[in-house]
Amino acid sequence: MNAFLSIDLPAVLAATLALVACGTLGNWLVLRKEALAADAIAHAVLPGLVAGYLVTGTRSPWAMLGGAACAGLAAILLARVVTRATKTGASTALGIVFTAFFALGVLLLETQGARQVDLDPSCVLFGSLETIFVASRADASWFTTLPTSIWTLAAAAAIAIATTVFTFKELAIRAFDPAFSKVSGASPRWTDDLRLIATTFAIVAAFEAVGSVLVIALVACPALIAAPFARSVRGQIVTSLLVSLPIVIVAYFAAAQAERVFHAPHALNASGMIAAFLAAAVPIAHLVHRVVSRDNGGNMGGNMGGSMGRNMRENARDPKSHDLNRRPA
Amino acid sequence: MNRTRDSAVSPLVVEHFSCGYGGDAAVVVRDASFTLASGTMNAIVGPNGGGKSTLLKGLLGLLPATPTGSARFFGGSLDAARARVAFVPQRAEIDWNFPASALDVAAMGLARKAGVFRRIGRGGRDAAMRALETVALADVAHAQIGALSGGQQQRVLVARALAADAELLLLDEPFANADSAASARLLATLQQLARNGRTILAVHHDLAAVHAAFDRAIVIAGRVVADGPPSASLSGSVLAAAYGIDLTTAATTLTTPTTTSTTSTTSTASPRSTDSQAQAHRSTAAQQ
Repeated sequence: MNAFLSIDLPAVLAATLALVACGTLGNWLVLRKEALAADAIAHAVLPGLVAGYLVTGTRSPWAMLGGAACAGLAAILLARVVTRATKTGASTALGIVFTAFFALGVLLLETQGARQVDLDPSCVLFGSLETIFVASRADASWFTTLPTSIWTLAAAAAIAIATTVFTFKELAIRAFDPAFSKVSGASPRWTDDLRLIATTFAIVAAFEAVGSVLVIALVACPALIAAPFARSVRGQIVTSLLVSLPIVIVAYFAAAQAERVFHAPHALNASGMIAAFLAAAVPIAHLVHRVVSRDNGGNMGGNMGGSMGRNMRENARDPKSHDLNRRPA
Repeated sequence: MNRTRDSAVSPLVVEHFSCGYGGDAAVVVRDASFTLASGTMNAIVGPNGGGKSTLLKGLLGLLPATPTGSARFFGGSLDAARARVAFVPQRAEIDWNFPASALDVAAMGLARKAGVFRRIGRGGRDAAMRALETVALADVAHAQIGALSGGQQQRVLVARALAADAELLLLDEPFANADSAASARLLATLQQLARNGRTILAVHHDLAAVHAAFDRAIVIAGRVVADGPPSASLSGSVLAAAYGIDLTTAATTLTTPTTTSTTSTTSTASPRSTDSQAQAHRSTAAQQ
């Protein structure tokens, strides 16, 4: 088996599946202005990883994944309780909860002897995309020797797509206007809970494979790249994935070929490179959008026509509109 | 469109209702009681911080703390009446950069009827389009909501409530930041809806407009201070009690719009309408 099939293809496949899982659900987080939740979940899983090891005594993927998923969900639920109990904003509550969980994880790691196991800090940050390789075995096909993390990521991607497709209407209504959605009863609470569980699973699965830096980039950046051009939620989600996929692939090979591309002394970390490329694409997308809309005479809508009157955009950006927690007079 | 069914059952009966944000701030509105009649225009007015929006949100279960007292919608619980009730939030509470067209937002009103896992089909889109026509936004149906004017955005939210076929519309400051033309247009739409048997309950700042166009004004200042036809409930002595300052001169301006308002310097409670706005509302009311 050549190097491409055994090393590059599985790694690119893992990054692609992580993009689909995190990027799809990341659109909802960005639309709801809750992208920080991804960071919170990614950090909050640490005590779960340690607890998974302590309870099972192994570092098997299932122990790690189960512990991490439990910790992620616990953090979300606790953040909700803190939001309600203290009347702080949701993002403040997430900030409180994820630092507490991360600290708890470090404490567990240091006191419970789990530090003998290698939970390598750089692995937590950058993951191990390059080591998701297919061991060459003569008695098995390429397909059947794919590592567990690929299958976990595939499941996370499938759940992310299914959640978004089947409860699309409910998620869009709630993201746009939580109050209307609650009063009308059009968007049952369980649809939102399901989205959060799917998001936690996607982040946990991706965290294991690609590390926390890339997870956060995969959640926030695709949606932010597509947002300036989006005219519908559906369009934003599809655009975010279609534009980000080539960026991810190019970034992976740029890292692998760093010696040639950047004259670096050795190949660079693939996760870090993908995160950097995705992050760089966000301001580029906004610049491109600005240039394009200027070329169209400032008419950002494109097909709006001239009949709509002069006051069309005057109130488009209300600085107060992002502060949903503002107490009304 | 004419909704005379169940006209005997009040769309909203509120009894000894108290609500607030919980914690130290505790109760914002205390012991409110009132009953709405079908097909009427009702305004909630009162000073800033008096609890107008809080009362509306409390009735709809949108506050973190559980209210006390009772609020019955169409003779039953809100849960049983959700299909007949719609909330129109303050325009400032919506992110207008959300990627959606006016038609997309109006169609959200049909989500409940369609049900989970089902798409809003062509019939639903047609109903959403009719709702946009009712609020005179059919020509901008496919425009992005962020590209609409403030008045148009407010009417998109009303269209969403109409698409939901709601019989009771609760609107939180629908006239905030709207210019006089936009206010007059929205007011005309709401009056049309009331004539068709729908019930309107709107938080409103503009006492002159309430005077001209609403059937009833409920004055809230931590409790129900006055309740009845605007000519009675918006009298000078009631307003003075509610707003904590002497608004007798302000009340005079309500009936004689040519007089210059003398309360424009007070920060708490100045009726913000200009004379031209009052005229606009009056002429709209006269068209009935």
